[in-house]
Amino acid sequence: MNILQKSLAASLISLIIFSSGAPAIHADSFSLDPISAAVTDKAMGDIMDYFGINQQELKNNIQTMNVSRQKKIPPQVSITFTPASPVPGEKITATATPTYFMNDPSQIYYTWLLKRSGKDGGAEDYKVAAMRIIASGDFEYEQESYADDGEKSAGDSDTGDSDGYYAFFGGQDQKGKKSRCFANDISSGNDYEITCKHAFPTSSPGEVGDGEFGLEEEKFWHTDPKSNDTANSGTMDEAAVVGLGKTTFSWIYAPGDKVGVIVEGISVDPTSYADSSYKTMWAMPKNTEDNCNNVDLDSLPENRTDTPIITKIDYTDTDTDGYEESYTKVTATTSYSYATGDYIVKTGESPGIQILKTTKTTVTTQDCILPPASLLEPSPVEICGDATTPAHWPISSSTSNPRFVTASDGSLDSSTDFNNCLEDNLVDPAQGTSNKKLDVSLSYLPDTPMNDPAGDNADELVIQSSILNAGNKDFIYYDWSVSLGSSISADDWIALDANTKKQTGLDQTAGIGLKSLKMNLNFDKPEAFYAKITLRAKETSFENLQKEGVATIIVPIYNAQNKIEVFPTNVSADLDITLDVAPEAKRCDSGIEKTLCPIVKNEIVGLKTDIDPDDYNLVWTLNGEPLSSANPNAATAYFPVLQEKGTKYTVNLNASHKTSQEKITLTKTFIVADPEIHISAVNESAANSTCLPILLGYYVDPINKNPNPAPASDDSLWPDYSEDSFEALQGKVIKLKTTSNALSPSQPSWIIDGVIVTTDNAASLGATLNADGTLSFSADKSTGATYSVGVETLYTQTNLVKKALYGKWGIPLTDFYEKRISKSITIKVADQIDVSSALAARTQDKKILASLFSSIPAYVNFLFRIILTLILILFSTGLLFSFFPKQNQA
Amino acid sequence: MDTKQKSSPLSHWRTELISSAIVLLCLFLAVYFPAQGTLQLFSNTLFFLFLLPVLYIKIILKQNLTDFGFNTLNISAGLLWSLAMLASSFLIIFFLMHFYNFEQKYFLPTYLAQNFWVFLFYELVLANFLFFIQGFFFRGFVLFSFAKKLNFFAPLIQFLIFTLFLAATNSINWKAAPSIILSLTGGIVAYKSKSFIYPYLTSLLFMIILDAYIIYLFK
Repeated sequence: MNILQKSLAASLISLIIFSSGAPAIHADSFSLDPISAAVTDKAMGDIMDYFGINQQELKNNIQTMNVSRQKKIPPQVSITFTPASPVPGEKITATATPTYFMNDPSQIYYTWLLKRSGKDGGAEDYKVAAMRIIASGDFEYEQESYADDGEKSAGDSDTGDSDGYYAFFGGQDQKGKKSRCFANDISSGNDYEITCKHAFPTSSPGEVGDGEFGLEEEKFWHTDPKSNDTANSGTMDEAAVVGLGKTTFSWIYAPGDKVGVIVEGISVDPTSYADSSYKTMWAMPKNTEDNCNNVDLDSLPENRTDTPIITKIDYTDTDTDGYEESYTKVTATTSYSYATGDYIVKTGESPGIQILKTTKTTVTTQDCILPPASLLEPSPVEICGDATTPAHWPISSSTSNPRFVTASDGSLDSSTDFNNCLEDNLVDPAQGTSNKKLDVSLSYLPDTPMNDPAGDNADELVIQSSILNAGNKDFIYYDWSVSLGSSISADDWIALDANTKKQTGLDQTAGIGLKSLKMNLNFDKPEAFYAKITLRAKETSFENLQKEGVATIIVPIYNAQNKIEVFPTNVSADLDITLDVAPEAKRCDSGIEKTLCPIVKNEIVGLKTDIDPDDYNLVWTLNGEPLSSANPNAATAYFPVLQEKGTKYTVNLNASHKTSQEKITLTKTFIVADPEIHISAVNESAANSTCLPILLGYYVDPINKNPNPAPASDDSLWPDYSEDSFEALQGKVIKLKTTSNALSPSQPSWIIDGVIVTTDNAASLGATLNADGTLSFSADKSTGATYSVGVETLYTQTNLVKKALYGKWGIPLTDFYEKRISKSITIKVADQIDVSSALAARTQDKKILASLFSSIPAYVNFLFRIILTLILILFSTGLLFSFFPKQNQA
Repeated sequence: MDTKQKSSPLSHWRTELISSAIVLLCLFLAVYFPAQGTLQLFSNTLFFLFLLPVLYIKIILKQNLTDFGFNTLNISAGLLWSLAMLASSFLIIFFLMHFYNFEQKYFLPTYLAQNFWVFLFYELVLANFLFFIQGFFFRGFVLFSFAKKLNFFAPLIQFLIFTLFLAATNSINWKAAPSIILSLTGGIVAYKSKSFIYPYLTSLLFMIILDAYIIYLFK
């Protein structure tokens, strides 16, 4: 080897030797020269551009990635209650819903807390109160002696029921894994490792969750020493005490009760340890509000076990202030070290190796020690300076390099922290709920309520209330109020006055148990309007808890001044059915027939409405089914009467305005009756009528008002005229007509005083048979005499009607019938017949006696008569005796 | 100087005439007073055949009911004549059965023959009520109204009135035969014993025996 080679080898060896003592190369101390750095940067940029990587976006993503660990959501728990509004004295169930826990909820420990109303205590008392209920269930512990039967002593871990349970940190499914416990700092997002300690109650005689559940513990927790599952919940007693899988907790609620829960499980984040462990963490309902899991860095204990390092530096002042100070600087240095959770995975080393970075804060205290017996100007404080303006003494701090450290700081006690913030994590079941509010809802029927000032088609509006969360609906105080307006958004809602309320049947609008409101829609309003009904409901329940609820509903009211009119029908030879709309042919337009129109089997009833089909869409229905015989959208319809006597038919006409939202619903009710014929005087309502029915009295109709009341002022009274007894003016011509609820092809026959009036004998009877079927005759008998007038006819269907019924509706010919119908009246001849007012007055006087007699039972009536007879006989006899002188004996 | 006031026949017979009118009125009203249903019919009978005569006697005539047979004073006469008339009644019934087959024509309701307790109720309640009312009215009120003036004719008068009453109401038939017989014999007992109680009890006994015998014949 030549000299050059030897020199190079020596240089290389020297370089190796001396470079081993060189400090470790830091990435941050490595630097390229500016030219090389620019070339490298450009090359990197070109590569990224080539692959289409947006450098800024990449930087943004990396920045996000750098802090993503701190953005993770820690384990949480929320509590819900059933019922949502607790009822005092009734059971309420709290359900804990853990989130961001890795384990199945059944594997997690739930430590419940129950703070009873009026019972203040500590966290421990709350835990015991709740877990006792869970563990003991309905067990009647008062009747259990908990006596040691001699075979096992008090404190013996085995009572024979094998209900001990060992609790593993992080949950039942963490058995066999190393326990690593963490707490989350909400502010920084970092997880701090803490001492593993369960949140179970600690005041039990034995340790909860230690696998041993002896007699004393059974007694403390009120469980059955003879049963391993006192509450029959599928978990051992001690497992129930630790709250294994106890996601629900039920108790009898009293106002003021509060409940809480501490949930222990494992987070979705694994630990950085090279084992199978996950982070065991705890959650409480108000984690996010009161950060009791946070490790308060400011409250770190200042006293350390480390011995402060004292250094002394002698300092000699060399400034030019003319003073020569010589001081000794004493520096006491103490170090804190704690785990921050930050970690760096060292490149090249196998994953899982944790390197924890610690931040060491050095607190330096400095004592300014003056030379003995020296008292210099200025003051020593001024000379020594202070912490904020160190005039002379620098404060030093340093950060250590990453290194392996042991976790946990024994001075940081997690369970102690939890208990400190448990009170703030209690939840009031009634808070934010509607337990003081009644949930009131309203509905109404019918769907399209119709108002009719005349009352013919007036609906009864029914407002029904529904209160879901009431205790006893029968004792709720209901206060209804009704007002009317012209539109939904009207500002001018007008409340009903007392008279209107009475008119519409709203006699009572406030009281207990008024669950519904019924109102007759016969308001004097020509157009559609709205009714606003408001209900205020109040209930005083358990422990004088006042609950109230309000609901309002606005109901559109449609006006029904239109009518359905009933007419007979005519059948043509082609079996076309048309209505006979002559005014005199109209049926069922007065009296009780207006409400319930009598019709006869096998007749065809015609219907007509005054609603204009050009403006409205019309649909006719018969008993809820579309009326097939009506032309679509026609104002007329007809239907055959095919049912037996007593059957009711209901015809509805629904009309919807073509351009507006106005709706009309009309109803007409029919009843199948026997064909009847009635006799009435022609023009009997006219002032100069010669024949009138006798007024029997008055009847009361509280709904339909008499437009011409007599007696005056009482418009609820309607006159009741006789159908059989008439009066006629002596010497005047009486004209009688017949009315029938059925059209008959045959003309009725008139009978006067038992003699059938024919065209041949009419003249001799002083009567005239008119072409329109009426009868006229002169009341020539003397005053007080009576005529007996009758009419009879044979009711049957016409041939065309029979054909139509057979052809259109398949009615067999054998179904058609004939019926002889008749009617007779008595006409009394009188000098005057316009005695309605006098009759009314007499009726008024007699009314009391008449009503009295009509209401007394028949036998009492009989007794009254017989006694009167006896009295009369005795009186007459006594009178007779007085007329006959007494015989004198000599 | 003796003065005699001549009394008119009307005054002399005042009481009898008026009582006759009352009797006729009572009988008329008992039949024709409006009544519906059994209860009212019973009430009719009670009021007009018992109550009205009682009130007439007490209020108008101002007399005692004992004067009209409502007494049991003459026990010996009553018993004696009751037995005699009972025997006479049975004798008449015997003749009727023998010559007229009375037992074939005297119809009793079937249910009386079927149930003893119904028979007892019929005889002791329904028939009892009827006989009492009849006995009081005819053998008491009617008989003693005329007994003072008509003496022995009074029983015949009451018998006549009873029979005419039955005829007027179309009630003369074989079923009424025992009542007609008892009316005659009972009237005699009442006249002799001055009481209607004895003929009433006799009538009751007679009817029970007769009805039981008729039931026995046909069982």
